[in-house]
Amino acid sequence: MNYLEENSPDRNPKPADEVVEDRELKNLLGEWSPPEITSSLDQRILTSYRRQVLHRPAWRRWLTGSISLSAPVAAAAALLLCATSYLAARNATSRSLEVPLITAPVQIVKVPVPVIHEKIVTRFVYKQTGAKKAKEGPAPISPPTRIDLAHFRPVGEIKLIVIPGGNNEK
Amino acid sequence: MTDERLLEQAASGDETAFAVIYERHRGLVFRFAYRLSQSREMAEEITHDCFLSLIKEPQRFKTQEQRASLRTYLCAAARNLAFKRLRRAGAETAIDDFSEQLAAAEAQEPLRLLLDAEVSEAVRKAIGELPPLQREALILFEYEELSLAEIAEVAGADVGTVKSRLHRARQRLRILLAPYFKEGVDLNVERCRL
Repeated sequence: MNYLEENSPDRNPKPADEVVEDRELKNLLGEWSPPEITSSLDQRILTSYRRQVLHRPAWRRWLTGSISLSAPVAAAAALLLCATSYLAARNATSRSLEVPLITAPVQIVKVPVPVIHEKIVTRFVYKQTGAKKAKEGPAPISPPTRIDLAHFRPVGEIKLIVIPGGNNEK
Repeated sequence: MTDERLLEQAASGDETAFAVIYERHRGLVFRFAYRLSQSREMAEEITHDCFLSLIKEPQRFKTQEQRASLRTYLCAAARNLAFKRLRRAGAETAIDDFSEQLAAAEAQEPLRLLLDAEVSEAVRKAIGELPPLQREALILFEYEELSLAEIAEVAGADVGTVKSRLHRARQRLRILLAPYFKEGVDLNVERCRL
């Protein structure tokens, strides 16, 4: 029989509200008495207590420690704390209102800031090709792209000029 | 000084306060643990662990302070430790497998029982054969004289359940110890005859 069966409501009888004292059973049960507690158990428990509490590290005692206060003392301390906080807050507010605005003298200091001047110089470099030809005459006129003979009139007189030594330079 | 105050002092390192608490309650815890486990070694271990856990985590008692006294708190702690150990030892199973037929057969041989052991041994054995929850209720009510409400606190059950367990424990003990319930038989006289 397990616990659930043992204690299920439908199996439980409904005894009277008062538990009737069974004197006969009580006397019989009194025949069995437990042994006395040995002093070694007392000693072991006290030793364990000392190890547990007295040799606990200070930081742990600080973290887990607690203090007890009686209710009136705790209430008085709480009231005192509240009053002090209120007064401190009030003083701070009034002081901040009373203090005039004092403008501190402003000292202007000129700090030279180095400016980098960048100068952009553009240079055109021409490559001179056929310099001699350029000296001899004007730049050749580029031929018209289109030849129109509509207004062509043949000249009436042609004058020929022969320039000698045209090929002396060669 | 109240238990609660003493516990606070003991937890903060007052050895004298701890000694007072221990002196006040050690008998109850040890007797209860011994009767529940029926082993001296186990009872000592339970008593030791019970008081040490109280000092180690006093806040666990403080959280229940409104509804429980230190006495019932310690009983509940001892009960849990005892059941845990009994479960580990497999004792509960053995007790659950209790056979009423066997008990009845033993009850028919009072002379052999009386010859084999003292009456106290018979009582011890009979109590040991009760299911743990019934045993717990019986021990706390009959031996430690806790009220039904206090036992309900210890066991974490309602008063009706506790009453029911007690009733059934008594019934079973009446069967187990039937030879000793002869009307008009004085146990001391009977023992003298033996």
